[in-house]
Parts: sequence; C-alpha cells; structure tokens
Amino acid sequence: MRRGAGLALMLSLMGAPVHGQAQPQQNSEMARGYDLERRSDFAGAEVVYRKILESRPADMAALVGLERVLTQLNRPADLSPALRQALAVDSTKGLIYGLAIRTFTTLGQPDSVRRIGEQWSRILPDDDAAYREWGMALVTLGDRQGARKAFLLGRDRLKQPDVMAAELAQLAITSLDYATGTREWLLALQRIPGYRATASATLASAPENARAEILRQIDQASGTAPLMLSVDLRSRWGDPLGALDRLKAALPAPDAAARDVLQQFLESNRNLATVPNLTARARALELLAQHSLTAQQAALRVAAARAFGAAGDQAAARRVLALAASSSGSPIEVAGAATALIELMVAADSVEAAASQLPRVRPSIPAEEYARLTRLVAEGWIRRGAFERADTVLANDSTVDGLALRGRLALYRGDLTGARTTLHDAGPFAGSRESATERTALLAVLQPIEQDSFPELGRAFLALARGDTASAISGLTTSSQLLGSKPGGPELLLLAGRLSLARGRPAEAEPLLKQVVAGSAPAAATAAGLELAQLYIAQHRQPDALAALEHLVLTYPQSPLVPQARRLMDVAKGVVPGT
Amino acid sequence: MKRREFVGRVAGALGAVGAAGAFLPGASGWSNGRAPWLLVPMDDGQADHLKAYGVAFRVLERGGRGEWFLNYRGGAFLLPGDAATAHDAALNGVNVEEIDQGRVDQIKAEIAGENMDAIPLEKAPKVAVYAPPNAAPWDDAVTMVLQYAGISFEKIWDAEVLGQGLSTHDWLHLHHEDFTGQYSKFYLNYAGAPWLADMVERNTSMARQLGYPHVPALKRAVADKIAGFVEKGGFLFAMCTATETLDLALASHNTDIAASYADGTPMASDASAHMDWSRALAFQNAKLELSPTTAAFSDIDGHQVNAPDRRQPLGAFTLFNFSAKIDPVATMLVQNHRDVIPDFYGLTTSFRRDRLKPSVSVLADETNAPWVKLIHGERGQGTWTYYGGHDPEDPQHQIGDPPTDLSLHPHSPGYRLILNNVLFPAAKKKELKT
Repeated sequence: MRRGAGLALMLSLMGAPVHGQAQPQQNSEMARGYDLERRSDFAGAEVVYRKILESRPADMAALVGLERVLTQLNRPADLSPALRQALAVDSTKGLIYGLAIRTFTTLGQPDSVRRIGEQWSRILPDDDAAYREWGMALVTLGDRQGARKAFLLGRDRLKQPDVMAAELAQLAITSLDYATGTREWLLALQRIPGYRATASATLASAPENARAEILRQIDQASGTAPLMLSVDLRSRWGDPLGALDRLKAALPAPDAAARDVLQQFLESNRNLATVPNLTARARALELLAQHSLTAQQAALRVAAARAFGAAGDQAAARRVLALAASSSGSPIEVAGAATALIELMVAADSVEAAASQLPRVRPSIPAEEYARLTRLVAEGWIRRGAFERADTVLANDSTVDGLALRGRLALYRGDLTGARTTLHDAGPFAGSRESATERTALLAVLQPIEQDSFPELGRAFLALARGDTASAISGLTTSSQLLGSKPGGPELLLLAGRLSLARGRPAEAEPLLKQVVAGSAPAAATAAGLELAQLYIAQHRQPDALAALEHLVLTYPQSPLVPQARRLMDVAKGVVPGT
Repeated sequence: MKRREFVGRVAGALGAVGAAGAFLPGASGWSNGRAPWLLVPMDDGQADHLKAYGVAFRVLERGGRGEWFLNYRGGAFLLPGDAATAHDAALNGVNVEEIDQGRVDQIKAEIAGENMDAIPLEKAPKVAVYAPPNAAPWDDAVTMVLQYAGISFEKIWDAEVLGQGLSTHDWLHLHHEDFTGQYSKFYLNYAGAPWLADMVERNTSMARQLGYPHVPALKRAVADKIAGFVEKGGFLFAMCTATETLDLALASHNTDIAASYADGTPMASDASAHMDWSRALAFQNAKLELSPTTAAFSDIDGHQVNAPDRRQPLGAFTLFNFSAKIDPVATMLVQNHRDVIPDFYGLTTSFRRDRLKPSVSVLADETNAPWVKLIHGERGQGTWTYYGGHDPEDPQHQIGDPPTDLSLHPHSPGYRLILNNVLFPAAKKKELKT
C-alpha cells in the first residue's frame, strides 16, 4: 500500500475530512454506526453503513465498517455488490481493491481474487501493493503457482528486479525450492538488509543435502548482509566454529566495522551453551578485544576466558587471562582479569600459582573481594589435604564465610565438636544461598551424632570436597556402621544414598535408602522414601514407587513431605504430567 | 444406569428418602452400622476437591453407597467410615471429617429446612470417553480430570460407537472431536504439521475400514449413533467443539457442510438454509461458517476464538442457583464452592442464547452477554450436557501449549463442573421438572 493511500485510509477511518471539506453529517453517521457495533447491533450498523454508501459508494470507512458487520452477521458474500459499486464509482483507490481481495479470499473464491488482482494491477500498475495483496491472497487459497505469477508480474511491471523478492523467496522455500529461495533472499537483502533474520529463519529449515549449495550461493554474494546470513546459517546448522572462520576470513578492515559484525555474531550466539558454541564465542570475544580500544580489552579478554573455561579449555582460558592481566587497561579491569586468573588456577589445582598472585591483586581490589580469593585459595589447600597452609591463609579472615570454612576444616580433621560449634556460629545466612544451604544441611547431618571426634567421617567429607564421591560414599557407609544404633547413622546413610543417585548408581543407592526407610529416624525415613520413589519412577517401576509412597503417607501422615509424596504418586500413576 | 431405570426407580425412592431415610448410612444395611461416617466437605475446607469425587466414586465401585448433600458445604459427600474409604482419602490428600450418627441426623435436619437436599449415590456409572486410540490424556480436560481423580473409564472410538460399544456404558464424554469431519478446520492453516497429518490419516483409514466414502460421512454416522444412545437413556457430556459439531452433523443430513478437502466437494453455499434442526440436541437456526480457512463452524459459538474479526474477550460465567428439592438434576450439575468462574476459550467457547432451542436449560451464563456457558437438556429417555471451552485451567489454550498439571489446580471450580456430571448418573432421585 502506498503511503498516501494508507494515510487517507487512516484519516477517513478517524472521520477526518480527507479532501479538506468539513463533513459533520457524515461523521455523525459513522459515529452512529460505530456505536451500534459496540452495542452488538450489527444489523443496525449495516443499515447505517449502507445508507452512507448510497450517497458515497467509495467511502472507505463505511466500506470497512460494512465488512466488519457482515462478518459478524456471517454474510461476508453480501459485501460483493457494495465493492462492485465502489469500484464503478472510483477505480483508482487501491484500498477498495485490497478490501475486495480480502473478501473474496474469505469466501474462498480464487477466480474473483485473480480478476480483482488483474484489474487493480492494470489500473494502478505502479502500486506494488496490488501484486503483493493479490499474490498473498492466492497463497492463502493454496494457489502457489498463481501467487508466483502475480509476484513476477509485479516485478516485471515495476521494472525493479528485486521487488517482491522476499515474497518469492518464502514461496519458493515452502515449495522446497531452496536454490530459488536463496537467490530471492539475496535480492531481498540488497533492498532491505533487515530481512536477514527472516531469511535465516526460513532457510534454516533446508535439509542437510541442500545446505552446501545454499552456502555456496550466499558466499558468492558480496556485502555484510550476505556474509552475516552465511554466518547465521552455519551457526544454526551446528557449526559455530565454521561460522566464525567464515566471518574471520571476510572481516572488514576498519575496526569499527569488524566490531559491528563480531558483536552481531556474539548476539546471535548468546543462548547456546554447547562446547563448540562456547569456544566460538570465546574466540570471537578474543578477536573483538583485538579490534577494540585498549581500555575495553581487559574486560573482553576476561569474558573470553570465562567462555573458554565454560567450554572446558582451561589452557586457553589461562592464556587469555594472562594477556588480560598484563594488558595496559584500567587498573580495575586488570585487577578483574587477575581475579579471574586466580579462580581458574584454583579450579585447575594450581594452588601455589594462585597463592603467588594474591599479593599482586591486593592493592587494587576491595577487601571483601580479597578475602573471597584467600578463601578460594584456602579451599584449594584443603582439597590438597594441606590443612596447616589453609590455617595460615585463613588466620586473618574474620568474616562469617571464613568462620564457615574453618568449621569445614574442623570437620575434615574429624573434630565434630569444633565443626558443629563453628558452623553453628557462622549461621544459616552468610555467603551465597547455595553455600548457606549446603552448610545448614551439613549441620543437620552432624547434629544428631553424639561423638566429639570422628576421623572416619572427616575423611569421608574431605573425599567429597575433593570430588571423590565413591570414597565419600564408602566412608559415610562405614561411619554409619560405626555409629550402630546411636543417633545420626540413618542421616549418613541417606546422604550416601543420595550421592550414589547423583553418581548415576541407582543399584547402589537402593539398598542404602531402603535401610533408612526401615530405620527409626522419621525425618530421614520420609526423605529416603521420597528418594526411593523417585528412583523407582526413573526406572519405570511404578508399583514399587506407589508402594513406597503409600508407606510414607500412611506411616508419617504429619510429615511435611506428604504433599510432595502425593504429587509423586500422581506422577507415578501418570495422572499428571511429569516435571 | 440408564436414564429409564433412573426415572423408573423414582417413586419408591421418593417415599423412602423422605420418610425414613432408607438410604442413610447404616439404615439400609449397606454399611457395618457403626459410626463414625466420613463427611467429605466440598467447601473451602477441602484440600483436594477434584480427588474427593474420585474417593466417592470408588466407594460406589466397591459396592458401597453414599449420599450427596446438595448445597451443603459446597456439595459435600457422606461416605461410610470404613477402613478402605479412610485409607483412600488419606492417600489422596482428601479432607474427611469423622462424624457419628447423631451429627448425621443434625445435618439431615438442617438439609430439610434449607435449599438443600440429600441425594443417594448408589451405583458407579460405566464411563466411556470418545477419543482416538493414541490420544494423549493432556489434550482433553475430561480425560485429565478423570485420571487425576482416579475415576475409571474406557476409551472408545468410531469402530466401537458404530458397533455395540455404547450399549455397555452409562455415560459418554465427547471433547474436541469435529463431527463435521473437517479436522477442526485446521486442514489448510496447519498443512504439513505432523499432528494434523496423523489425524487425517487416522480418520481416513477408519472411514475406509468402516466402509464410508469419506470422513464427514463417517462422523455423521457416529453422531447419529450417539444421538441414539441418548435417546435410549444414555448420559452424554460434551465439551469444546464436540458440542457444536455434534449438533451440526445431526442437522446436516440434507446438505453438504464439509469443505472440499474433507469430502471432495465444496460446502453447499446455501447449507445454512437446509439444516434440519429438529435432529439437533441443543441448537437451532445457526448460520454456518463458509470459509474453509477460518477455524470456526457456525455462529453458535459466541466467542469465535479463531475468527480475528469476531473474536470476543473472555469474561467470567456465573452458575445459576436452583431449588435443590425441586430441581435436583440442575442443582447436582452446578454444585461448587464458587459461583463465578473465569471463562476459558475453546474452539467452541460458549453458546449464543439466540441459537438455543427453547427446551434447553441454562446452568451457567455470563451476565449481560449474549452467550451462555453450560447447558443441559433431555432427548428421549436420556440427558445431555454441553460445556463450552477446552480446558478450565488453561484459558487461552494454544496448540502446543504444555499440558495442564491438575495437581496445581486441586480446587478448580471449572473442573468440578465436569466431575458433577460424572457423578450425576450415580444418583438416584425423584424426577422433577428442571
């Protein structure tokens, strides 16, 4: 639709005098029609609109109003005479043709759509809306060949080889003609680069055997839009590293342009957390740093290192961080890079190297951040079993988090009294929510145990901190056996069972959990019953799950876990969707 | 129990209930005669309204009896206080109150003096759900709620309906089946979608297998058979598109109302004029939707969700308050702990008042709107109930939406209206004009 025509429709719908002449009478008639429509008196509104059309057959507001009410009255066919009359009076209004096409499409009359389309394009050959509306109507009616002819006729008459390209591209792709679809999209992108997202979304559906040819066609075209389309498609088809290679090969020379395309690449790849995607992201960030101002480089490199770290490439992460830490950016950004480097070093068990970096960052980071890093290093020493070195690092840490870590240190040494006291003093709120929850859960396991010293249990928890779950399970089971009938044993077995489940060893977890269910500790028994039922459901042993849950609900009706157990019963029965 | 039997027992039951409470727990020998009884409250004191219906249903399945206290505490149930019932309620998280005979007598006295009634529940109806064999439960509100409540049912489809499948059931449910045979008119707009291709293939092969020339002919035959089921005393409950299209299929024996993609010939342009509404259950004088691309069937539906120009916004519907002692059937069907319920869309969301036959009883409507939500009526010796909309707890319900998890909606008043219908055939009560 041409802009002038659209404006005229808007004004006429608003009841404004289109030709500069006041029309109070007409406006009040239209207002009456609207009012009747609002009151659902469609028959009354029809009379009003028809009366307006008697004196002005080509009045668009009245025609559109009549279309609305006839649709409500389920008589869309009755609009046809009014449209014929309107076109007889004024055959130069594209809007009337558009309305006619819409009406005949609703009525499922392809021949009438064709007739009106031909008439419209003959009388207004420069109106691209004629070919577009005509073609889209035929698409709706399932006549793809006819639609294609209408679009091509428009291209021919308007003498613009790229007009209707987006429509023809989509039409070709719905007919699985990807070669034509690609060619047309490239034309459309020349005209409007903003079509890229749609082009990428539609071409992405191409089958695997058509993709190489599509990429070949796109890569032959020049310009940023085809380049980014090629990059988008490679990413969508699971080759983000290939996409980045393509981008690097054609990276524009000016830094600003290079930054722009790299940022577009990062934006389109921000949600996928696969290893190739994270690696591509990391490399793109590294590249972006090279093309960015010095002040921004450190931050971009830290982001790149984090992405490398998330992709599991610690060596690349350290390399980029070292570069960031030695760069000449602002002190804050350099300190940020050094902090990230320490974190990565501890994660990679390079505790000595991490400890040596601590003095370097101390002057440039806040005291709280420094304390967090020292605890991180202390945790590294603890995992190594170097408890004295951890003591030394933590000596000056008076924070609540430091207290909590000292509590853990006491536990690993087998000093249960010290661990309970220190963890209790640290309270349930310090640190992150995860660490606070973990600490509280740990305290709940330790509290029922009456012994002051329990080295076997300390070793089990140390194994857990080191990530050696198998040894931790074995240690917890042994500790439970050592406790015998004394309090605390079922809680340790429950933890061992949960760890076995987390390791993906349900066969090992099942006897442990069953033992807890049969025991005399209600809280542990209900929690174990729930775990057991979940294990059975995962193994499609619904009757066993239901038996476990019924036992839980009927034996411990007051347990806070009963509502959860009932929901799990529904899941086991298949009466609610599983989550 | 067929409606004929239901009506036939009335005279004796009427005297017995009124005079001596022959159906009271303990009085007729159906319980062990010992207090306490279990009162299942259905007001805001109930923890899971939907599962409470299941507990009551299973009492009947086990051969026990109960009573439905209409308008008392949201439509409470009185069930025997045996171990099995208590166990069932505990497992399902249904709140029950143990009461003795003295308390039962007090409640009965209160019921006698108020707009309330006590309806004996004596036999679990045999429930059939009309659905394709591989239909997932998540797309049908009734299947979902029956499963959630633990009410047993059997799935039947065209072959069973056209055979003898209906004769062994008391209650039949239809959901979003399109009885005009046009695949809910999604054929053009969703062309290529795997679920649609599956639906088309399943239906066309069933038509071939049963000797019908096309799907619209098959579905019309199924619709006739279902109307016959009601005629002979069956209880029919339909939701969503099944309501409107069942009536359209019944009324269209003189004309072609199916688009060419369904039966090879275009819909008759004057089909509306040739509809025989005397054959329909609920509607009359409707105008058919002519466009094959608009997923709407006629102007029976007030909301027209799939017709952008006609689509109406959702409001809320109000349940009517009937006299429990004079209109027990209608009262049973609207038992609820809420009177006003948020509306929800379906391919058929509501029913225009001016398209209802005069004999139809309206059970719920939207105040000042030209449409109603829940209707009920009789045909021959049976009854039917139509409930507009697709899923009471998923108001918009788009194709591909995640399934509704009823454990998150245990108090759903919209779903209660479905379960009232399931339990309604279990009731034994005097026949009075609605």
